[in-house]
Amino acid sequence: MSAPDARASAGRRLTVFLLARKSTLAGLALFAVVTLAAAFAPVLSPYDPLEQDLNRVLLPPAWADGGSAAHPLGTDPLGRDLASRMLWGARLSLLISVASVLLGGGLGFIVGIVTGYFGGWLDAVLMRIGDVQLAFPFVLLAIAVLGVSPERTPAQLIGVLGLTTWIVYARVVRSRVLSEREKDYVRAARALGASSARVLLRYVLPNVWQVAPVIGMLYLGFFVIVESLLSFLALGLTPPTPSWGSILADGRQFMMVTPWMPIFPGLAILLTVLSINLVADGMADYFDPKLMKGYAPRHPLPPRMAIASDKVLAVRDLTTVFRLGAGVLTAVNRVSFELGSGQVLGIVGESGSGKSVLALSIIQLLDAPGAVTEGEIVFLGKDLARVSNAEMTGLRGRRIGMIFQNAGSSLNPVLTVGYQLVETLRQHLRLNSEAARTKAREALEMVGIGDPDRVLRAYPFQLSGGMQQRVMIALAMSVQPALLIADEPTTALDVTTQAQLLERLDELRRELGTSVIFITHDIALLADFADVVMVMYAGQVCEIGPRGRVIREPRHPYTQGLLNSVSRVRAPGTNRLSAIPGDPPDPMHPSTGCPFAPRCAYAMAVCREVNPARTGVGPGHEAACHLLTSTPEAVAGGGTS
Amino acid sequence: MTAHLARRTAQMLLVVYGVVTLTFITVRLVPGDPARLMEPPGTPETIIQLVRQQIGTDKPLHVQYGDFLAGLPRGDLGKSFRGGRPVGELIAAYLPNTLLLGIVAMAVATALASIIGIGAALRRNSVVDRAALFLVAVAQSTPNFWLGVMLVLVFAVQLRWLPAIDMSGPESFVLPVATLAVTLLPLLVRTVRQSFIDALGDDHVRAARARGIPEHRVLLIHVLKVASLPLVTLVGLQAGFVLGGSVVVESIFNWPGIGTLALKAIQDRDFPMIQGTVLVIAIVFTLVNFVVDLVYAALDPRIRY
Amino acid sequence: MDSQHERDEQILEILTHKLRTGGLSRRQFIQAAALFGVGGALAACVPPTAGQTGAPAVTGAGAPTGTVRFLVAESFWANWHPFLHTAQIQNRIQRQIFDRLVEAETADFSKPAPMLATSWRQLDALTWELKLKEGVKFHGGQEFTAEDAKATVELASGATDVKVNTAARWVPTTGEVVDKLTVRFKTKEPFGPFLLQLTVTDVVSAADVNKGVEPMKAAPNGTGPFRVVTDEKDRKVMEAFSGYWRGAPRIKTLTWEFIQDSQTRLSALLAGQAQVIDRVPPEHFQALKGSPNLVLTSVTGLENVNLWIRQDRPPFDGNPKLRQALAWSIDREALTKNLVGGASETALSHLPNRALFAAPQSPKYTLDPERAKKLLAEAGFASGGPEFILWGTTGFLPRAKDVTEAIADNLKKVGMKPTVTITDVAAIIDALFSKDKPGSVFHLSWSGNGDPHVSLATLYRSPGAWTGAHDSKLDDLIDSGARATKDADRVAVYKEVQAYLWENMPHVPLYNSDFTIAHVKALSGLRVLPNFNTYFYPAALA
Repeated sequence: MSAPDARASAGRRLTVFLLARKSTLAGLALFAVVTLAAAFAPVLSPYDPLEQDLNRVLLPPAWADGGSAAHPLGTDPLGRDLASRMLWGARLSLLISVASVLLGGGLGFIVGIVTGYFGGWLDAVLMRIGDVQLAFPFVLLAIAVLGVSPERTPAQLIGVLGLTTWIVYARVVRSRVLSEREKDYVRAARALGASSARVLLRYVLPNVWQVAPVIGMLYLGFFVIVESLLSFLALGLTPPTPSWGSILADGRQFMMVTPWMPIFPGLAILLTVLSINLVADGMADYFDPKLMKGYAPRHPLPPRMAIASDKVLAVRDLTTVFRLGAGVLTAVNRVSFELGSGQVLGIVGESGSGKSVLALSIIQLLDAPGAVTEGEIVFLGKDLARVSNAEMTGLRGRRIGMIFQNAGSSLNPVLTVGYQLVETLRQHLRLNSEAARTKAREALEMVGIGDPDRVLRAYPFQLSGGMQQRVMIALAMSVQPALLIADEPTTALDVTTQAQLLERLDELRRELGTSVIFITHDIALLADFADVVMVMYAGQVCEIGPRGRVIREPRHPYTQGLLNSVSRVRAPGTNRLSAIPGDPPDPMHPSTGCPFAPRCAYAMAVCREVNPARTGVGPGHEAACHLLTSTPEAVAGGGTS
Repeated sequence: MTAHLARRTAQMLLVVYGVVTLTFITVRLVPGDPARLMEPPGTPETIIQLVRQQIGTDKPLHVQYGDFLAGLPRGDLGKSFRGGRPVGELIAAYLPNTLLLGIVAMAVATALASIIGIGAALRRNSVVDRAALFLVAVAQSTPNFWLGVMLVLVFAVQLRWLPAIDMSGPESFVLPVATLAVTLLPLLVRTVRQSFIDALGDDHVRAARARGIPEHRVLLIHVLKVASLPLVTLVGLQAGFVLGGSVVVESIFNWPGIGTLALKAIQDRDFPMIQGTVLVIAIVFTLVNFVVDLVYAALDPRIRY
Repeated sequence: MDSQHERDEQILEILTHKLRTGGLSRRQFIQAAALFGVGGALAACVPPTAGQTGAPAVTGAGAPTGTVRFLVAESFWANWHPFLHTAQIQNRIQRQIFDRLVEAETADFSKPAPMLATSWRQLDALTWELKLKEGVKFHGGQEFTAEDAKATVELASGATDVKVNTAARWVPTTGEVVDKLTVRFKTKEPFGPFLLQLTVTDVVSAADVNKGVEPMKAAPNGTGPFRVVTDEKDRKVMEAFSGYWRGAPRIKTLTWEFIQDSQTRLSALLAGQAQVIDRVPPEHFQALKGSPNLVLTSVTGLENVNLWIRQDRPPFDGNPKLRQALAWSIDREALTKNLVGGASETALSHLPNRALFAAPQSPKYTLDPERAKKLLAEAGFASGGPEFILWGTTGFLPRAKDVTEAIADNLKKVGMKPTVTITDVAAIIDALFSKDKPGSVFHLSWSGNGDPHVSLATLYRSPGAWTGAHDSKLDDLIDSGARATKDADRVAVYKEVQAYLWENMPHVPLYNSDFTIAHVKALSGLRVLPNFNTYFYPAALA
């Protein structure tokens, strides 16, 4: 894509986003009104904001008794036109607030990043200075800065307001940085020798900066109020320059006579704060899809008769979509498969292929705003897409277990392993706490943990990655579920631990007769583990079949590509396959043809037009490729050359 | 743990020392001679000089500073320039009232903020959420001196349900607490909401759900325990605001608190009184934050001393 | 009593002498205002209690009942020793606790009335003899005798070696006990205001005086209608003194409490938590007038609010035309009527409008920008200016910030370039009185006792602390005013002084303050005076 194209597309995306987010649009409009009012105050004001008329003091607003259209908002105690003062006041108030936020925020941000990332004596010194600042009364600070010179300029006010807030920013940012720098990927980046500056910019900052607008917003409005407090304490701006704060402070004295006077600046602050809130909320959602992560309330599909099956799990035409502001993303597209008792289904695909969403669709724990819109998930005779929430909760953990890629973050960091195990066991097996404790110890022994008592007492962060994943497996398997979904359970682990863990998992599965869905991007892992292999691409199944057949005789060009890549080296820090050139399609704008066509060496005209259907290519073996229906030889030849 | 306690105590002493020293310097830099304020305007310089000798402001700064520091270990904060009563005694009489008001207001605000914030986080982007954020914006835009007086005019003057001023029975807490709580709410609600949303998106919450932990336990134990961490920090920070910034509320409700004591002392340039109140505020503030750190450590096992 | 003329002569002679040495303060001036009693009382509830029989007495009253809570605007920062402070609020509360030998608690200052002294006569230029009331008791139980009168005056006048603040307005005076109820005072020099000084000197007991300064600072022991039962920093609770010699007060409990914020005082009154509040700002009148159960009492205070000019700092030094230009530029009528309001009045002279010998001056310096511009040009500022800092305060005078802004606006319209600085009282006092501070024009007030000499000598007699002027002609005029003995002479001299000041404009008088008290209708008999005193005896709560 060329640069103008990219820009046009970004513009289109923004337009679509804004049109979908009415609140953000409203916020922008509101903010524009406030800013324009400030900018064009000289034109809009009916009067000079400084012009006094002692014969027209404290006039009520136009709509009140005794008010006149000449002074739409009435006049102040010196007979100055309030509407004009409000308009002119917007300039100074916005300037002071924004500049103060930038000063306090900027300073705090830098201090927070530096102290959080580098720590040491610098951290100690700056944080102590911050403590002193926090414990030092604001009024005294204001007097110290503002009281010493006869004239008080906006710059001095900005200094006081900014200085009082930097530490709040610094602390929040620092704690964020502290937690970010301990995250695996940051550790990994550092271990790989990335420079501090690079780690900060590339990994830490993007995850930290999002707190800034939230605090900034809060302080924007707050500063106007504080400015009025300063006026109230005789420390405000040198008169007669109008600001919302000084109008507020003036209004206070006359509350009994003119209760409306403080309301105008109050409303102005409210509108400004609201507009900034709305815009900032929208901004966060637009730029940082991670914020979209979170619990999506589950809405079961309308009930219908499920087709009976003797399999543990029968998935038919399962479709899962995410309704985003910018459009609808189909993450899982008409996926069907079956899983027999005690069988292992291996699902393989690149990241973004929809395999994890598929897993979460089955266990009905999709992130917001995802939802299953079509199909059936028949598990032990019940359609999981249609059972009640209560019933689903009863099945989760008890009949369907799940383990995740990152065991470290999948265990609650502030609860002990023992607590989480006992809680789970008591929930499902109705044990008393003593029995649950014993059972928990057994569960840990079952996954090959030698010193279960120590691990029970431990918090997750005190365990190694392998140990954490063993705990996860124990958590899932201790109640002997009928189905275990393992979503890349070993990706984060070293090869030795990976092998041990897989072996243990396989033994357990055999012992307990559990069916397993094993999700991986590494097709080699499935070679001696899975009974059935399912290959996914762009939310669709490209190929499914018995392990032997799929691995030895792959029929889909994508499967072939995956297998070819196995022996090659993967780029560190990514799980993208380097063997297949090109990128997966943009899920927001799917083509009507085969999603793999743009990357497929054998793509034909029809591939770009029509999405191929699954066709049988052997016993239990199906693939979705036009080549299979036109010239199968070519495909076979391509696969084996 | 002992080593940590010792280090923390040293840190706190350092912070308090810093605040006290800064205060000492500040009050003497600001224009306004306490001696001149204690005598009628126009009093001849010779008499003013006598007053300076009497209250000790004629001494060189380092001597005054030394005297002040020397008194501290004995708990001697000096005598007020106005009325000559011991500063410590006055603070001891006023501080509990501020603390009581502050604690009640913080408790009410935190409880309210938790309910509103969690409700908004659970129904993110819904009407409930939007209403909550709107309320927060309104609270944020309402000056507490206006709100306080309006509450008094409605509930004390018009309806006569509650007292307008004074600290007396429990009913006298309602209006000042409401005024203070509204000021505290916005930051608390936003923090609760955001940290709840963050925690709800954590992997371990999904993992807990995947284990079949019922929703109420997920929210009340798994999410709350993680989400409360930033809240605890914030409460510590807001303690400073309540202590030092409740001047307006105390003045509107004639609350016999340390805020008005400090403000009056500043107006009078009553140096011992300013130093005393600031010192006590700083000590309380650092202690509160020390407790906050302990609570934080208790909540988050990753932090160990 | 001796002839009016003779007394006046002596008063003036002594005042002249006394005031040249130090000068009285604003606060002192205020206390003395009662004795000079130039009343601007608009109060309907000020009872006509003056007269030779004098003392208001409670007759036929039952036991004291009810509680009155009085919320005041000034903090109780001073001590209880009547002679060791000059705080207005402290003197006001002491009026409820102590009695004086002679009374001037009404508007007519020229006729001091008996109080603890039943009669008096002047024996010679230095000596006075007083007959005292029998059966008067201190709160502590001691009987009041000539010993107490002697100790009181000796301490207050600075005749003993205790350094007291009140000494500045006295000459050292020694006492001689003739018998239990007769005392003779001898002033060190002829001291005309002797009787008038007695009206502001609280009577303490000799036993207390002997105990030393500290116990007296700690707790008051007077013979007055109320005695202190609870003494907190911001709250003084008094109870009716059942043994009061004029009859027990009808209010049982009287609480004075400091509340700085005027809105808070008002809310408390409206909510029924207080019975009386003071210094009600005019913007609150409307809210009170609607209430049928409340009464507003306003007086024009003996207080001139001025635009002070430091004449020893540029640009106003030695430039009367510039100062006249200031006066012509300010719309004082509108300022008084529309901004300050209440019972405030536009100042007509450099003396408060109701001070002794005060006479409206001419021209009135009504707003005349053209004239101001002309004068500015003559003063050397044809092309705009001068630049100067205009200081105003908050939390001191009502509407001070608005008044300062309005003045600045007025001045800008004629081409002057003031920069407004609003600051707290401490900083403004510092700027006005400390050496080498910036600033030349200040919006501040000065209140006095209504005697012209006290204010003139304090404010303008060089080396004057307030204006920094060294005007030998004015000095001579002030001195001759003090030396004048006959009424006609005094009138003439003060006429000349006022005219000279009006022409020379050492500062610009703006207005006389409003002093307003609001109380519940159930409270009757409360006396509010232009010197800011509020007497709760013999008030009663229905």
